[in-house]
Amino acid sequence: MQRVGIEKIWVYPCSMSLDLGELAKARGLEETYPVNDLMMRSRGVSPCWEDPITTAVNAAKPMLSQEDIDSIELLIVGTESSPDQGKPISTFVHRFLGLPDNCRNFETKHACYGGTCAAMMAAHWVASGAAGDAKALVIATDQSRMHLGSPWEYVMGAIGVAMLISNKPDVLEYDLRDNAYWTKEVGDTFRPTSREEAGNTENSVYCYLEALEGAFAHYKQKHGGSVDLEQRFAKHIYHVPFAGMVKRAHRQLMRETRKMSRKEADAHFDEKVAGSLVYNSQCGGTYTASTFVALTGLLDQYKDLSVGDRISIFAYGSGSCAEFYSGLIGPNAYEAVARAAVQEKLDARYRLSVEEYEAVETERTSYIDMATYQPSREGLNDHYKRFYEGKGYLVLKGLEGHFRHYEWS
Amino acid sequence: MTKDKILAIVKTNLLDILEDVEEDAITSDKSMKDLGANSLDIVEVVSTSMRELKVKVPRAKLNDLKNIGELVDVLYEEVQAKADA
Repeated sequence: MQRVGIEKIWVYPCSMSLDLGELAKARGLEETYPVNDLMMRSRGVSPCWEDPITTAVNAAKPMLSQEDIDSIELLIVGTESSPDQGKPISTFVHRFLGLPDNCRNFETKHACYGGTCAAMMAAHWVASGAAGDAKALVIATDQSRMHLGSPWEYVMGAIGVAMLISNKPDVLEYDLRDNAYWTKEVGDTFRPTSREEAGNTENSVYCYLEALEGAFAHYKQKHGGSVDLEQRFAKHIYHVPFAGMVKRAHRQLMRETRKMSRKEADAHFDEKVAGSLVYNSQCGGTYTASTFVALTGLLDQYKDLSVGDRISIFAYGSGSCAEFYSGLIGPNAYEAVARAAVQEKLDARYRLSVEEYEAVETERTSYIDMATYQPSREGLNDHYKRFYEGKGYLVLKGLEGHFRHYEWS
Repeated sequence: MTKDKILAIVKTNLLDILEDVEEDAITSDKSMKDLGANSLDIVEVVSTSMRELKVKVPRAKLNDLKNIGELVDVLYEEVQAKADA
């Protein structure tokens, strides 16, 4: 097998944000509820001239050099938010990034596991050596549905994360023999129509914890029945439906493996996990991009990692499939993530009022499945002019007879 | 395994997971919400108790539990069913 892993990573956290404390206040709850109960501060919001396609392209374009583009022979987009039931987002992404004609492309769907399965399939393709030095581009992109006033309104969001997967694993090297996985058919959360996101919150939390138990049991089995987490892993990343869930997941793992009390597990969480959530807690729901966003947070927050240090990653997708695997810190991990300047991008987002957010979400929902639509670029305090104009972002020009038209801003 | 032992396990987990709860306040007729638990706390208490008892209660049975006593009852049923199998 060839060496393989993430060579580059880039995050596009959308161009607008909503403060979740303000949202809670507007809904008659304590302003501190999102931070105290969910460990979430804000969420990303896209204007209606963006969709999961532009988000994917805008995540990948700044990351790629021409040399990278010329070497890409595989493009996989992980998403549960595709606007089309047949034509994959990857076809648009391939076109607008100017990828070579001789490049496979497809979309993976498995709720929040879609990005991880895309990364793993790409990694196995690179590791096989069948494509020589060719590289894979993997993008995780998602857009939540509208949930105005619902209890789970605080865990919604939109995001794009791009990764170059190659035999030059500068950020994180995969150890593909060290992957454990677990599947169980459940109906915890799902998208039965193009407008709805359905499910049961409590059930999804049970399913997540059960999947962690199942995937970790497989991991232990691969290691002869037990794993010394402290010896093996420098840090831990978990799927982040919302940051507070990760704390519960880590407690479970610490109870099982080290018989820790809640207080001990929470102290361990602060030392080994909490830093990874710094960006997720500002992005809101990051769906299938969540563990990759967490990787950037981990590398920006914890400066005690050395090349070759092993971290654990737990990915989960409703429905369900889970993977517990590991990666080794690469030689340019800190530099690569610093270049992505995630906090800078988060700070540059236009902060919406609750009223503006509701108007944007209502407008976005109004054009789902419509054959013809043209997003207005007016309003939102001249957001288009300030953030987009002349900056070279991909934007949705409109729909005509269901054909999607895009242009550069 | 008696119901009293199962109640003791649930109590231990409640005391660990919830801050500021006195042991005497935990009685079978109270709900976890009465003790200040939010929905994540409740899932954590139930999951941890199930793992400790090495049983899995079907989710449908967990949806309508009114108090700690009813949780102990469904856990006991599963423990018994496993022992009889």
